Amino acid sequence: MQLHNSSVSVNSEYPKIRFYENGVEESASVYQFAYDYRESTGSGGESISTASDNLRIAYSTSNPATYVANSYSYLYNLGNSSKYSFQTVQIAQMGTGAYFREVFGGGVLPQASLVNGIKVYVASGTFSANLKLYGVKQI
Amino acid sequence: MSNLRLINETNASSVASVSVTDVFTSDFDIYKVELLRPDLNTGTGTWLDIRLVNTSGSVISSSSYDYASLVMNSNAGFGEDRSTSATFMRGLRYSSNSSADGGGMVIYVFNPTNTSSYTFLLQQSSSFSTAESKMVSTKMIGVLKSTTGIGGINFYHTNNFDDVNIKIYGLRVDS
Repeated sequence: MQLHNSSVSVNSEYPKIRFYENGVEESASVYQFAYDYRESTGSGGESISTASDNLRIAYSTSNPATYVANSYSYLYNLGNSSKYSFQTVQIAQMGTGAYFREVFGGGVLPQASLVNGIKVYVASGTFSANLKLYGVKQI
Repeated sequence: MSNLRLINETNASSVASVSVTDVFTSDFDIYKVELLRPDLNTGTGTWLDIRLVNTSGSVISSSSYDYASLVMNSNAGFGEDRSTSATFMRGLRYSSNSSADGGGMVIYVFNPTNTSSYTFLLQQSSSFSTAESKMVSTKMIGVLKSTTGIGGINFYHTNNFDDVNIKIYGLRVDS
């Protein structure tokens, strides 16, 4: 899944995703993730959770209308009801200041369920982005 | 049209090691390898690791690999896993025999058949360790410090794979 030129309307907000299991949005705090971030200022750190209600496809910025985020995620096993659903992601964006931030890592919905939809949302305000979802099909 | 060209799909079960051979050729400079639905037999806190296969079909297990992997845990601090002159390159974390928690891994392989260049890898994975109640994601860079022509890739684990699916694509360049 590709997120291109994402911008948000409010400060400290960012697009995130949830999965739909058989058409029902999983909004409980059951997701886990581990993301590493590095910034052009030299700072960086770890962002982890074992009880999140979403997975990240971008991080916050202090100049939301101007500083866009770009990312791509590989999503594994979504259509497989006997497997957990996994994400790996890489993000390139402007961070909370006039500097560059890159993020990579992964996440999981640790439930063996059929995921047949993805919700991309922000918790407050609105966002704009170009989203593309690709399947890698055998021909 | 996608620039990915599917070259090989391999399914394996009840084996400790799986090699996909004769898939890297001079047709492409960059290959994408997907390891999907790894279902390993057992082994708390173990790793599914990576080796390369030469064009004669032999797995290269000499101390010729360097790698550096950032290990990102969802429940604790991150760690660095790195080695020089290793006999493998680090892959995906695994630690239970649940068929549901295997995760996935994508690897890019650069210049495998170019005998003037070492072979380089980028890897990213996500998996769930049921026994340790955490998700583990990895980001790895690796190199085989040899100009030997590489024809394939090998995945292995100290215990058997119950099941695994591997897809290999060439990245086509339109000229």
